[in-house]
Amino acid sequence: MEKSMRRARLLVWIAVMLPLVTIMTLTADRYLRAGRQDRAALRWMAALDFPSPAFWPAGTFQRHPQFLPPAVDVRMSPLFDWDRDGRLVHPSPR
Amino acid sequence: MHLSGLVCHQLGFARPGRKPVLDMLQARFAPGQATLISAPTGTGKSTLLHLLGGLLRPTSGEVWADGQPVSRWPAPHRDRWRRQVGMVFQHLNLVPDLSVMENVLLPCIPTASSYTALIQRAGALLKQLDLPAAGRESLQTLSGGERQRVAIVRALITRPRFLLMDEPTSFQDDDGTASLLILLAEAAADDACVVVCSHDVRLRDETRLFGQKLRLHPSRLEPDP
Amino acid sequence: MTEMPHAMSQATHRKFWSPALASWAARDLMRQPAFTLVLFVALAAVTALAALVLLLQQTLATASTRLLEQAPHVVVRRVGAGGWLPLDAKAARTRAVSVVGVLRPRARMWGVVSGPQGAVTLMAVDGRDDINLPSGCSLPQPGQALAGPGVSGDERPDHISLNGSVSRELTVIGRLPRSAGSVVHDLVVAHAEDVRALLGLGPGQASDLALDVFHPDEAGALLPELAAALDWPVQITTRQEQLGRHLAHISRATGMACLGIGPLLLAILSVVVAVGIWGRRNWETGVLRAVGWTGADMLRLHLYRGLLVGLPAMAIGTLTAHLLLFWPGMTWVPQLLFGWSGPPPGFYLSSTGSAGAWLLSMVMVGVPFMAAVFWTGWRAAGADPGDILEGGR
Repeated sequence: MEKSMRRARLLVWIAVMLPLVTIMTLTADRYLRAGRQDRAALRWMAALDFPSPAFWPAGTFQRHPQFLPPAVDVRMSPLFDWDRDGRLVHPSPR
Repeated sequence: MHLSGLVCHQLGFARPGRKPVLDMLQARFAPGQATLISAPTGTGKSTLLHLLGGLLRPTSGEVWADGQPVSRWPAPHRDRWRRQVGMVFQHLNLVPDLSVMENVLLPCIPTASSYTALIQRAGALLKQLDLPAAGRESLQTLSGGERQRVAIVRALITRPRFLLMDEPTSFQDDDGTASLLILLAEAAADDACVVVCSHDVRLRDETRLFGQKLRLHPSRLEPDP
Repeated sequence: MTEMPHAMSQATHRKFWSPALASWAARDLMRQPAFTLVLFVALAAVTALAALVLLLQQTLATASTRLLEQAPHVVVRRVGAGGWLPLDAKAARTRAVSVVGVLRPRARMWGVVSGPQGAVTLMAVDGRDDINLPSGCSLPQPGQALAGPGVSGDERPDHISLNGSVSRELTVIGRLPRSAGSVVHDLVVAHAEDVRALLGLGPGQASDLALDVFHPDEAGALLPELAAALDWPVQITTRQEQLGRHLAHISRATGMACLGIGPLLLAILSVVVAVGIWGRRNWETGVLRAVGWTGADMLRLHLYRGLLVGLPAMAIGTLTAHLLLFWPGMTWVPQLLFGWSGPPPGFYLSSTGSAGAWLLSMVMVGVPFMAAVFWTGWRAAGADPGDILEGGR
């Protein structure tokens, strides 16, 4: 068989194997890691009676959505002190 | 019409808005026989071969193959039937950036289960036509005559039932022509229906191979003495 | 002449998968390396973007749902005309417990103050009953603090300066575990005395009241009674509402990223169709059809070419998205999307739905791509070989 056709066969083999290997890798990673990783977070959440997870930085309304009155999005309201990045300037309840 | 081989029945072809290239043509090309059709340039030899090979659809009349009206068939059926046709085009229609072997194997790829036997056969045919059997060369490095021989091997590789050749010796020297005639004789002996269109004098002078020699006129095919 | 089966006798009924045709499709792709590479990279990039968005949305939603299951059922905050007000802890607890169905009211002291490098969430721990910190962490005494992994210390690593109503420098006696980063990343846990001072709370005051209810699913029904039982205007948030807000924020953040996928995909499809229809392929299609390829063969060739590029590209794209999100130490996605100035917490790979996100991202990119490939293949399959050859010359 010609060299070019041998390369072509190799390409087919790679094109078939790559998705299979990827699926196996992702599935293995999913089963090895998933479900175990957030055990500590769940314990801390319960222990601290914590109101919300920390996906967004502290001081943003996403991190503390309870700072927003329900049904009214006050980010643009002059009565509340939000800076341009959506952070509370005086966020602490007094 | 239960005749084997290829039959033209009142065959006609005209491009839109032009006068007919072929009109009311009657002919039969029997299996196991080689036919030479000669005619001056521009009289419709290539068009006739394209009609016989199912590449064009006649505007009138029919082409029958082994008793089947193939020209009336819908495209998918004609496509499948065309696998039985080996054709050498006047302009060769080789794919320039492929190697010799790749060009030769082109017709077999969709149906091939193994390349090994095909490569063996291609190598043997290439050798018979004085080309390197491995076929690794790029097409661009070959002369016109060599390219034409590659096109001939491509037409023969599937052992076609119907072998149609358009000016197959136009770039060949005498040795090349002699080799080709041997291959054509083998194909005819294998019960293939061989039709060659050419105005090459060397073919017209050939007496043993061609069981039928015809001269093409727009409205008839008459025996060429 | 070598013996071969006659062309006429060759089988006409074949399976979709033909190794010889697949090899040829790969050979065909190798003849256009630049186009193939660009297509591969573009498809992988679009798939990665789609998978990134979907995986992100899915993992955040799942993680939020799981974490908020541990949160109090209801949170009561006192409000006034100017915003939030501290509430009297003892009075609030007494009033709340008088409502039938309310369990375990806890007054909490927490808020947001400025840390050394931005805002931190501050929480008091000893103001409530029966608190046991996980991971063997000891409760901070006055002047001490536990700091989350995302809270940077001062120049002195065991001290942290916090600015709220007053400024305080606390001694860091321990770090909250990185494995709990999705909860404690930006958190400083301090003694109630320090928290009270930093948040400006008076004696006996708390930030809010957390409580559980007997039937969490029916918490909404208790809200009017709860509001009536308290002496001041309050805002009451149920866990479901809290979750709803979180999911809305997540959808907003990921939805914006989704907008970029459409134009990119459209550009790729245009290139595929343009190359398939107007490229040098047209004449070659005629040649292939003339030497015995059927329309179905042409269609299969196009589909093989599409699959040979598309499948590995989409696999690489999905893998890239997975690594960008879940590989330990990969932080630029949350930095970019959520505005973390320092190192953000890592995402947790949640098993629920991640396979669905992979599949959906592959479908989002793969189906339109293969449709474009099919369209060009269909045109090639339907073309008349004689016309193509004569037209192409």
